[in-house]
Amino acid sequence: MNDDLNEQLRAADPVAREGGLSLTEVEAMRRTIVLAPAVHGPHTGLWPWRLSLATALAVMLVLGLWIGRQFERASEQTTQPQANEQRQLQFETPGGTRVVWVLNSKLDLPKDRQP
Amino acid sequence: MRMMPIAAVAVALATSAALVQAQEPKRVQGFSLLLLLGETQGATQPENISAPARKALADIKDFLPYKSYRVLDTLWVAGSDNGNSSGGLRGLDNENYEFQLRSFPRNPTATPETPDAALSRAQFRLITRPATGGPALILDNSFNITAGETVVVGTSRVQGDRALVVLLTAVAAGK
Repeated sequence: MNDDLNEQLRAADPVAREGGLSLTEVEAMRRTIVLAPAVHGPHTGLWPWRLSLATALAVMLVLGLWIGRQFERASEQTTQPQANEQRQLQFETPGGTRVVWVLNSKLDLPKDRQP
Repeated sequence: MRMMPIAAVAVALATSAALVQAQEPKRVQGFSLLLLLGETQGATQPENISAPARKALADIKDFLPYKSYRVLDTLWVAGSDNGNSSGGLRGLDNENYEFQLRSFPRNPTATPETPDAALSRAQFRLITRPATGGPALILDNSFNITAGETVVVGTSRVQGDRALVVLLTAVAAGK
C-alpha cells in the first residue's frame, strides 16, 4: 500500500516534469549568493561591538581583582605591627624629674670602642 | 627701743623683696645638654656633672634598668623661653649627632618677662648622619619643661642593655 502511495506522489510531482534551471538562472543565483555577504555585511558590524564588550568586561575583572588585592595588603599592613615601631613613655619620678623614654626596636648604637 | 621699729621695717622690706622675687617668672638663658650612655653592666657614675643632672640621675635610678652612666659629651647652648637652638654632640665611637631644640612659652604672644612668657614646653630632636645611608632620627620628642628643670630624654631597645640618654636642663637666668 505504501509503495502505491509513493508511486502516486512521484507521478503527481510537477518538479519531476520540469527541465531544471537554465544556465543563466544558475549563474544569476550564484552571483546573488556570492555577493550577498558583501552587500549586507551581517557580521562585520557585530564583531567590534562584541569585542569591545568582552575587552571592557576583562578589564573590569582584572581591575576588581587588583583593587581587592590592594585592600588585602592594606589591611595586612595596618594589622601587623611595624618592625621599626617606636613607643614613647613620659612619666615623672617622685623626685619631680620628668622622663621621656623612646623604645625603639631598630635602635642600633655603634660598638663601644672606648675604654 | 628705737631699734625695734627699724628692725621691723627691715624685716618687712626683706620679706616683700623676697616675695616679689619669688613671684617673678624665671627666664631661661640657655640649655645644658649632657649626652650619656647608660649600661646595665657596671656601676660607673659620671663625675663632674652639674647638681641638677646629678639629682636627675638619682631620681631615675629606680625607674630605669641602667646601673652605670658614662658621659659622652656635654654642651651649653644659649637659648631663651621662645626660640630655636641647634648644634652637634659627639656620641659613641665618635659618631656625630645633630640636635635641634625648640622652646615654647606658655603663651607665644605674651609680653616678655610676664608669667605667660615663661618657658613651658620644648621639642628636642637628635639626628645621626652615618657615613653610609641617610640621616636617621633618633629622638623627636615634645615635653613640658620650665626654667631650672632637668628633663631626661632617652632611647633604648626593649630590654636593651644600652641606652642613649640626654639630660636637658633649662638654665634660668641669674643662676
